Amino acid sequence: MQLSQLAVAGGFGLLGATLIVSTASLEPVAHIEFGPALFPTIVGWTMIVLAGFAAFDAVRAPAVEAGATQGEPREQLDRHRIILFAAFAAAPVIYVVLAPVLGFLLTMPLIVGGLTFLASGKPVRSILLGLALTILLHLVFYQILRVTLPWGVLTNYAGVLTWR
Amino acid sequence: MKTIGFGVGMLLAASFSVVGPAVAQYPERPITLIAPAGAGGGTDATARLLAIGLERELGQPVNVVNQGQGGGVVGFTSIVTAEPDGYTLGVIYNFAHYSPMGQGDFDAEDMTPIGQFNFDPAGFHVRTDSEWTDINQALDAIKADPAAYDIACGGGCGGSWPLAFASLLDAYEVDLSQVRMISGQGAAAALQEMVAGGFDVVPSSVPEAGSLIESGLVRGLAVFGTERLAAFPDIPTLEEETGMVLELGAWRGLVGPAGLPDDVTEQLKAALEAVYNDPEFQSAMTERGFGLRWRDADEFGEFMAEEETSVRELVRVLGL
Amino acid sequence: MEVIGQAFVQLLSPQVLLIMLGAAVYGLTMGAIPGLSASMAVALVIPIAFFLDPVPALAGVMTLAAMAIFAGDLPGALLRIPGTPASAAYVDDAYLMVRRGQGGLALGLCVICSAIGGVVGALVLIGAAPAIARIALQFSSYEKFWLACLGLTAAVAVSGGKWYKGGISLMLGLAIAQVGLDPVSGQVRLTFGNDNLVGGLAFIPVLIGMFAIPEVLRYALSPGEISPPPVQALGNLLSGVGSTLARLKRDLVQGSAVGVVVGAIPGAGADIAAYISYAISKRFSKIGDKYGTGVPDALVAPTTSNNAAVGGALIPATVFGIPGDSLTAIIIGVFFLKGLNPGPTVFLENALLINTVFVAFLIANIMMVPLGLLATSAFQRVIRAPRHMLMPSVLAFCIIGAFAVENTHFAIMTMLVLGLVAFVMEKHQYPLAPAILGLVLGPMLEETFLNSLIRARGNALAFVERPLSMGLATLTAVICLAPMALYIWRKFKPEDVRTA
Repeated sequence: MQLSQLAVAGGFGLLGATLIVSTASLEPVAHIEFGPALFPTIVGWTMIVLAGFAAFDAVRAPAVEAGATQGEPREQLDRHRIILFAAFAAAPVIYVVLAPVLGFLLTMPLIVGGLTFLASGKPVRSILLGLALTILLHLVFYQILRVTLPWGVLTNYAGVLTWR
Repeated sequence: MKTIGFGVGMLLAASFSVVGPAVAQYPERPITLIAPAGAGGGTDATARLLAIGLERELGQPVNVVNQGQGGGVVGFTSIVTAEPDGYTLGVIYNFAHYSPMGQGDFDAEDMTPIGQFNFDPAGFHVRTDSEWTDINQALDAIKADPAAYDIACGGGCGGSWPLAFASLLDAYEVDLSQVRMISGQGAAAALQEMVAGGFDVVPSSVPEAGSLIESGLVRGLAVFGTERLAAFPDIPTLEEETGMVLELGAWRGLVGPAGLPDDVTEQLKAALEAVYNDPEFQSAMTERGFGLRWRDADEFGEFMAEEETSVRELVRVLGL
Repeated sequence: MEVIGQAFVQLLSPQVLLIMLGAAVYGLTMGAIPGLSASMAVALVIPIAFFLDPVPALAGVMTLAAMAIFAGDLPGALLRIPGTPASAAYVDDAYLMVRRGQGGLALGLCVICSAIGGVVGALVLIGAAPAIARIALQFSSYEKFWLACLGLTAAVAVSGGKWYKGGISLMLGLAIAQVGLDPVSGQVRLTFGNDNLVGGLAFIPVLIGMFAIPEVLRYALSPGEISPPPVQALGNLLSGVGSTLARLKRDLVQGSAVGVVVGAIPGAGADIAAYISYAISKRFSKIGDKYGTGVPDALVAPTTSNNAAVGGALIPATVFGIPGDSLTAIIIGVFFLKGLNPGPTVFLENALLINTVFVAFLIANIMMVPLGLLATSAFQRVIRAPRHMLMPSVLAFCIIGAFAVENTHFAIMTMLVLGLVAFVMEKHQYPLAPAILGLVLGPMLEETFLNSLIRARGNALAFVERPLSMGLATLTAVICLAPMALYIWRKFKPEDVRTA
């Protein structure tokens, strides 16, 4: 039995059930015999059946997990890796929370610099990369391509810092 | 120019640090203009033409932001929930159907009208080999057997074109609850589908169908405006053909979130009016097939409120 | 013909050439950076195109589109992060070839096949646009439904490993596509009360999430520096390409043909073309069972196809104003902006300008060979930066790429969540390419199926009544049933097969 395979298969089975249950109450509109629930229901049931196959296979298979990615040696997880993984996974959330408050120009160096520092432990290099990449992105995306990146606390200076 | 502007900016920056930004003159930083539509479409194009004009009038960059997700619901929501400081504005179009259809939660009173600058009448399009050669035949046939014909909504069935079409049928006393309206992915796709034999009628703007009309694949039976379109002089108006005086179609206007400060609104009204009356803006709009129509802030506000009532009644009858 | 000559002259001004070169560099850069995508690159230049004269603006946009679709192959091959959805079908093959030291051949094939496909697309566009557009126009929802089914069969080809895992991945893609307003009745579904989900899960953030985020997370779990593949010298990029292509002539023809045809059908486009080409090539290849493990045979047809599809998609777009896919929809927007209103009369009234645009597209595809090789060579050096700097930068590009295409912070969350899902899936040997296929085909499949049923008033026979739909249905059935028939044949007539 492979517990983690089983869990993933179970997760997909649940997703299939969610598709069916949450669309079941949707009514077909006038003159349309086939409502918005038809496709999600088909997909949901197919997913449940396929997840059943996957679960069956996971139960039958020997407990030794196959190597996750071919050719990659299985390394023991240490604290550094767990912190690094959590930091990379949390970085987009941190950006979404901080950017509207601090603005792009202050948030991005924190994210890039912080991650680089965690990964390399080299402060100077991290700060330089954070600043350089932020300025590059700001110039290309905000100034030239006019993507409205958030200003946050710098809002009052946006007028001055935008080229005409 | 750029260096002068930047120099002035630097001086202003210096003054901020002393007096603070509170007394600064609007607008002192770039303005975001939300277009609840994808890049490259009609609303996007008008928003960008408008942005160029407003930039000149207001002296600050006006950046168009496309938020077309969910048929525009996301963009509209951004407009009405934005800080009412005049730095977030929106180019909007017929929106009254979102709320009764349960797609979005915003009304005319959630916005501060600044002015309407565009109106495009709907057109009534059929295949060239259709048995209908004028609109009266078509309307009579639909009235006689409303369930026999497939009518394309273009996008969602609450959009400008299908609702204009439904209003016409309503005025012609067709039993709306029987009419079969089928949604799709935009007017261009619906027209293609009609040519391939799928639909019987596609209501859409006339320029959208223009190339197919020119190639002899599609016939325009009527335009739902008060006068014929300059680019399509052969298509009669509804009034000429049926005697009904109706003006139905898609409009676009400039709004801010509800509660814009009065001085900001006044400045924006003046700027929009100046842009609208600029011959360059007018010719740019006409060249790209967009109709011009001016309603000032008060008229525009009344118009939106009226439309909201009539559209919501239609949506109820159509059972959308 | 005379007008083609004049079109060339139009393009020969220094201003136009400079803009085309700039657009090429921009397109190659944007396409090559993981997290940034071709349609984002084109959408973002609209404000700049606004201020240019029509000829440079349109020539620039065409160059940009051609380059960005090709450049999507680069991060796919070198980092296993496809830059465009059209590159997702064969990302594993390209990446594994590079890892195995066959990088020169893999990247060389990407450049040359892309250019060949692009040139074929451009030539068809110049020579036969109006004629082909008339055929493409005949595709009604019945035919498009069968085409979507045909696309679904490609899922089998792109799922290695356990078949049901590929199936689950495909279903996941279809499920993601269902979130938001349903395409037929406009009802809100699967949003769980979250207003941000009314707009659905946006395609580009999902794509970035499913490919780039797992790569970044994998790095975080084993942060050591791995030796990057050796840089392939410029000359090395082309060695072996000639003989491989000579061997796989059939794939080149197939890729070009499928690309142009599928691209020209409104609603299909480059992504679906690449998947279908991959599936066809796998079916008819002698080493079909090795596809997905890094064989050059797997690359030729789909890389050719996705670039040929750009030309194909422009056919109905220029003749009838009906875009073939999302990228062309934005390009058509630029056409309108520049007063080049698509339509059959454009070939009469605006013949010079439209032909200039087409010729610009042709030149762009030829320029792709030298510029693409230079870009490949440069990009190989960029990714040799230490991974502790590369991966945070990739994440930053992903964040800005997801935001810039949707203009909402919610898109960044979409990207992250799908990234985590994809990470878990990969760890458990679920293939990701079928999910992208499901995402691309989902809306088309559902809309065409339901709309056809509504129009046929529930009569299922209507799906095969038209000659064209009958043909496509038969083709789909043959492709589905052929392996089964073959299996039965082999099982029950083993002696005959051996003696034959």
